[in-house]
Amino acid sequence: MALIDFSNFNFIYPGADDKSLKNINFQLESGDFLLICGPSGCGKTTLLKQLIPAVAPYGTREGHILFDGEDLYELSDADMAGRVGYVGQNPLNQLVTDKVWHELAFGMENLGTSQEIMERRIAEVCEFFGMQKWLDRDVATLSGGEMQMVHLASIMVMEPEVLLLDEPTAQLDPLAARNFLDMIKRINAEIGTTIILVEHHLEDAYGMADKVMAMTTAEIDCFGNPREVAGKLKFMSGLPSALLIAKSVEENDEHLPLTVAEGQRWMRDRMKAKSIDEVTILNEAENIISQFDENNISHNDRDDISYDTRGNISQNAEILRIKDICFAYSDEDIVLNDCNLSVHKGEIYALLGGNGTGKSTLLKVLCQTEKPVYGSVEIFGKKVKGLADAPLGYEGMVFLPQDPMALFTEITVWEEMIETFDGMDIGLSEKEKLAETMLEDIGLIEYKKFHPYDLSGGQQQLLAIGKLLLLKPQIILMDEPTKGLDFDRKIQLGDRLKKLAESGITILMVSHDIEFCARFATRCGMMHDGRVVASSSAREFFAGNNFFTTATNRMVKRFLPKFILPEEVIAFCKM
Amino acid sequence: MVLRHKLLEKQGLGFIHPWMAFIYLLLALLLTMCTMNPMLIAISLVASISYEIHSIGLPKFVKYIPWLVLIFIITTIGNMFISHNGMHVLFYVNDNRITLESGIYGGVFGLMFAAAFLWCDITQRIITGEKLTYMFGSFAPNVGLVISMTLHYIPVIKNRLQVVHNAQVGMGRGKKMGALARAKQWGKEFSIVISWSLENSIDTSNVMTAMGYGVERRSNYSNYRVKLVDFIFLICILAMAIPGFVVIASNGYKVYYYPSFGMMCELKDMLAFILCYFVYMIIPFIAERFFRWH
Repeated sequence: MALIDFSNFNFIYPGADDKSLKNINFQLESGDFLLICGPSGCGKTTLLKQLIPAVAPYGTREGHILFDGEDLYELSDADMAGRVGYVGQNPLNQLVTDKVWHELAFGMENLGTSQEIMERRIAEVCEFFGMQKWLDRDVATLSGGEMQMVHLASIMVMEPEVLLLDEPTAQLDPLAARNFLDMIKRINAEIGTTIILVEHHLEDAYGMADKVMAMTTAEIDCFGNPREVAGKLKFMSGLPSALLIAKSVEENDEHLPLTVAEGQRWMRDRMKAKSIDEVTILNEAENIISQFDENNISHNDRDDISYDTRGNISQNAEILRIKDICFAYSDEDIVLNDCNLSVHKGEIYALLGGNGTGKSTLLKVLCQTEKPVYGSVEIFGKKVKGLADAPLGYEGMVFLPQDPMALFTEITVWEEMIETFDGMDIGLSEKEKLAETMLEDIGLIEYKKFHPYDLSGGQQQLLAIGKLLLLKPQIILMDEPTKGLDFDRKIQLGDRLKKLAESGITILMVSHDIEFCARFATRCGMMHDGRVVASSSAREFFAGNNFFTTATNRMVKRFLPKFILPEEVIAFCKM
Repeated sequence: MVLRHKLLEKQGLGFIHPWMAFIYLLLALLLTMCTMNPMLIAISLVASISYEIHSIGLPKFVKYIPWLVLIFIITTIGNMFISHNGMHVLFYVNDNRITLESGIYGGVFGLMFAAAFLWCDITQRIITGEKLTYMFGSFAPNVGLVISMTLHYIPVIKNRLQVVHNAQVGMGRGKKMGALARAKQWGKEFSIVISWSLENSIDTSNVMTAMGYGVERRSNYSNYRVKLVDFIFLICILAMAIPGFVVIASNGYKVYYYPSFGMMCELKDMLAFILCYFVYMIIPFIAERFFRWH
């Protein structure tokens, strides 16, 4: 008998006309690893939440969900507690108490478990997760990835039968995300816990699952093992690069590659089949690259900037310069160490690197909210000595925080836009005109009356950018702008950034997101050991890296070392 | 770094079971506050000052001194103007006698207050949030949880205030401004933090529900076990403290300030008790001698 059994299940939110879940029929055996994917707003999260009656959204349900043979909605909360675990997106919000050991004990305390059993289970789980050393730490000192891991452990302590994960890695850096997914896979394989994972970013997750469900609006589109489903998938966004490339090149391949390694094999076969000599291949490759590069930096043909042939910019357009900055939070750890960076007018500079390498600190130093021990910052060619003479705000430099919520004070989108002009000498009608135009421009005009918190993550990001654009900035600093956004929203954001750069605005962003930076940045640099290293054009940067590069580049590196985006490989294969 | 801090927390009194340590500190506070005998207060004050200097270091302790002196001055002068008893008149203000005795009484009261303040400070450092969570959790699990959640939120909110402030600075709102504008700006930042935190707490509450909060009567996980040495410690401190309280109850330590300064008993009769009191007050040092990490 199946562990989870949805039969003819429908769900309608109160007051909505359309069903949010339609005709959901599927079974899951104990020990399955199910991946649910699909475009934003297709009902993935709604479906997932149906499995925890205690927090399921209000609405009308039709049909049945059987859990281990019993109707899920007739079981009491006490029966269900601990049997189904839930991990959501935001790491910090999921932690309740102040210490790691207390977090691990929290679920069992709720069920009134005795001290002996708690001790034993916590000991076991710590051993499994390798977190003995963390037990006495304050949760406030954990990184996002560690927080998410602690929350997972605190659920595993309760020995759940099913683990539900709703984009658990969306807020994590790539390394932490991979660690987290590996742990999920381990739990599935070693403990036999049934896993249901909702993900947008499928690069790593797709190959792990043993069942995949693709959803289109409110319905299940296809369901089955990953390879079967791979051929039938209608949407492309977020798929592993290897699969994306192979699918685009040949529609009906039965052996579609899912991982980088499989992709490499697939590519080798294609190259052999092409049976043309190396010189022709190189020429073709160069052609494609120059085509794509032309698209990418067409906006650079402006008078005030002079580029040489490789997309490098001459020195005269330098707009922001960091010179020999040293910075430390305490005596013991030096965060920035002789850090140098210069950014030119109209470019999108992406600063990549792992957690704690000092990327965000660098932005703080630029905003003058942290004072460096040594070194100087020059903006618009002028040395900045402190907060008082920093060209922040109107017609100067602005900063987009990681979490757009940090900017919202008002109760409607409209008032939020007007609030931007606070303390500025502008007439009300002028303010309204500017706000109106901006809302139209960012496509949020219909959401005028909404509370900013009721917007989706992507829309909040847009609203925050819109707010900042009202200040007519020349430089925008961005801290992890793609965090928590799904693939399509990232593309939208990237296109917007490109347009801004074309209009002469300079963007300096700090990011973990390799794929995003490869696609949209004009130049990239890597933060390492307190300095910026390998600063070069995006293509040179990623083509020069072996590990820290896009999945596409890793897949085709042996044959086409300079290709970094799936589209380029697709164009090459189709030639 | 974290680990070293943790070890320091577990030294001396910190090594003792939270309840026993708490009883010790509470009794020390009571012993200090239940008598106006200047000699006992001096012992308590010197002991607490030395322990503070020992545990937080002289530079940090120096910052306390102005406050302690302020307490002393306020109580001394205050009492001189309130109480006009006493034999030795210093001068008259508006026909009121200002006497030496009332000054002495106020001064001794000030010292007692200062000692009590220091004992409270020692208590808050030894009974950490974690111990407080445990102590409440052992008889009221929900209160324990609330304390733990509060301790979780303090750094989170502090951090958010910083993030919001940085974001506002990034919009050009960090420049010098007038007092009114500054207050308004601060209010804005505070309001952002509050609504942001409230919004996020919906998530947290869902997590708590999903993890079975409220389903059963909560139990309490404890990191602390009562060791044999904790019992010995308890017996020792009681043995030392009880005589003190007995003498206090029988007015043995009593000191007269009005009409002139005088003691109830002969000093030499009280010597044994005073020694007892002295030993009680330096127990933190003794504990540190015994329970020390190498």
